[in-house]
Amino acid sequence: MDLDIPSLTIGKIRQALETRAVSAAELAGEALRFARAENPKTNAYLHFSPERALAAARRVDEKIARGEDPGPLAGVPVAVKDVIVTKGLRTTCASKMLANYIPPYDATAIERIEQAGGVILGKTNCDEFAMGSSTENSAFGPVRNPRAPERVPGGSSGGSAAAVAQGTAVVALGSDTGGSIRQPASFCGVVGVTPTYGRVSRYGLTAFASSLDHIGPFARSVRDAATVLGVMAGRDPRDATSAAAPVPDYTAQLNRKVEGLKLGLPPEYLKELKGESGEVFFRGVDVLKKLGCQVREVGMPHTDYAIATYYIIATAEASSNLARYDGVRYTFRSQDSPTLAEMYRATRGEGFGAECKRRIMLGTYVLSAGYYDAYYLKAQKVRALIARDFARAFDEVDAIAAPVSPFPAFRLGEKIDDPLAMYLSDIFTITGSLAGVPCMSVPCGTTSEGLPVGLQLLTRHFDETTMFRIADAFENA
Amino acid sequence: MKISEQDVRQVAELADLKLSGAEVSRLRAELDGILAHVEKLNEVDTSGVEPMAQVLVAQALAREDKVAQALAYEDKVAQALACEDKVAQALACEDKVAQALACEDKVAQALACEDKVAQALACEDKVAQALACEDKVAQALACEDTLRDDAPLPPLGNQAALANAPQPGAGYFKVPKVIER
Repeated sequence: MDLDIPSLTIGKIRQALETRAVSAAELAGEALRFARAENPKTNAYLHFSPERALAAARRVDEKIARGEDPGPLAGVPVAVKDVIVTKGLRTTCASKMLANYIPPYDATAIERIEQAGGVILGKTNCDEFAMGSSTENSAFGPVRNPRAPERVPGGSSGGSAAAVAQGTAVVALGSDTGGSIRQPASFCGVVGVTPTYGRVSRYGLTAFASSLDHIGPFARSVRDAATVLGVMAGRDPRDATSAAAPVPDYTAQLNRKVEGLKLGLPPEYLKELKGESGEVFFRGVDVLKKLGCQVREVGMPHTDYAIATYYIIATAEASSNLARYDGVRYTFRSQDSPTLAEMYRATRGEGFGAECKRRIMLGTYVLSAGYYDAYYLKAQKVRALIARDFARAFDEVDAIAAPVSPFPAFRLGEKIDDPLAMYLSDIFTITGSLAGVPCMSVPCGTTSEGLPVGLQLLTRHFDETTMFRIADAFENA
Repeated sequence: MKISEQDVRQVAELADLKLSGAEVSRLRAELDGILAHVEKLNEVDTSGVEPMAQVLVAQALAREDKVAQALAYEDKVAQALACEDKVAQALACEDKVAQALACEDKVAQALACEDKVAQALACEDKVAQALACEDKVAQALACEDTLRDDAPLPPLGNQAALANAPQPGAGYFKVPKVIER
């Protein structure tokens, strides 16, 4: 069989394995060879895991040989963001701090992917500890956008988005705290899904901001993304925040008409949207109208406060979560400190990059005595109001359509010196993160320069089904 | 200005972050800008609003308190074993701390050492004394020899005594009169 790796889908792989056109081991070997050859163009992968991939592929082949079901992801090459721990496989969080960290266990999401027959090819680059919107904050060099090599792939899950766009993985796992799956999916022209908060266990996801962190999939089609989410979703006793809500068969609801579904457009978002990204977005809304969706405006009055709210809550939680990196429990330690206290300070000063330090500082400031009520508590209250905006909107509509980013992929280095401008570009993704509703980016079109633009869909808590249904209809329109 | 360089240094201390002078001044400007933006939240009336710490409070479930699968001991310590140099560094660091803290011990050790020297010296004295003693014994033995030399001769008979006596006619000695009984 002629294996055109970049055009593979979960369905094509399944068909090839069932007809014995190729074995999972052959496919894994070919996918690894292709990924290794292509990776220097983007720097999407930080390291590969050939032994683990081939072992997983052989298990799939053995199951097929015994006539057993090899699982919904049988033989599917998967890339994993390097903030999700993998037993025996280096997990760096793209930080000098964890450059040689080899975790002693697998994340629940990883266990479930491999139980379903998935083949993990390697770990992908990202912003350090998932903090950033461009993947330029990696200690191991930035990632290039496969669609425009002089531009960023978005972030923080830029490596995962780039690998799927480049064809060096069929699907990938990312993490999203304020838009880190949807924004790179939009910039690279792939599907990226942030499920309901609690839908996928975070056991084994390196903590950034615990009340906002999610794991979610990237894929080249809505169907593939829905399949991967279905595999990972569901209660995990090892994560107390994972939800017991039943997980429906997401793919069963695809290929259905969306006629009559009520779709909301928040005017507060649209006033921020200028230029070509806006034109592409509105063409996408027209497609949804043609599909029969009833589009109406829904007010989201607290949108303006989302960025301030997010950057207080996320940095406060990050400063606490990152306190564990002290040079004692993990791999990096500064040399030649005269005392223990100085060793802690020097290790953290040398081990963290500029963005991590900035967020630790901001988070420590807003949590420090005398400021807690004014900043952190105030932000938690405004967060409640933002969540209420969503609850009220979903009384009126089945889903919300919104842009993903105010602009398409920007040039490498263009915004790295202006952190506030970088934070402000997260405006459209942060509100959904704060409310914890499911949201995703689906390719919407391209600008005149050929840069991809995504359309964001958001639905009620645990209603990923409706979100996938609309996205699937949109993708096939 | 919301924040001074002194504030930045104080927060860095709380966060256990060592920052260079350049980092302090850059972070002051950046945090100042971000904190000015965050001021926006004061426009929002949040009276009577409960703070939102979790997305869905009702879903947070505790698992049953039963012993379940845990990491193998080997897995838990694998990182530690993989970083033997780290252990060495930790020990070196402890040593340094210990050095700083153990000044008194060192003084005590030094004093103890002096005592030892003193003891050693005392010991030498004893050895010297012992040697002197040997000398004395030797002298004593020599003395015995001397005494033996000086021992009185066995008493002679009267005839012999007379034989040793100066002969008559020597001039200044009057011949004793032998009294016959």
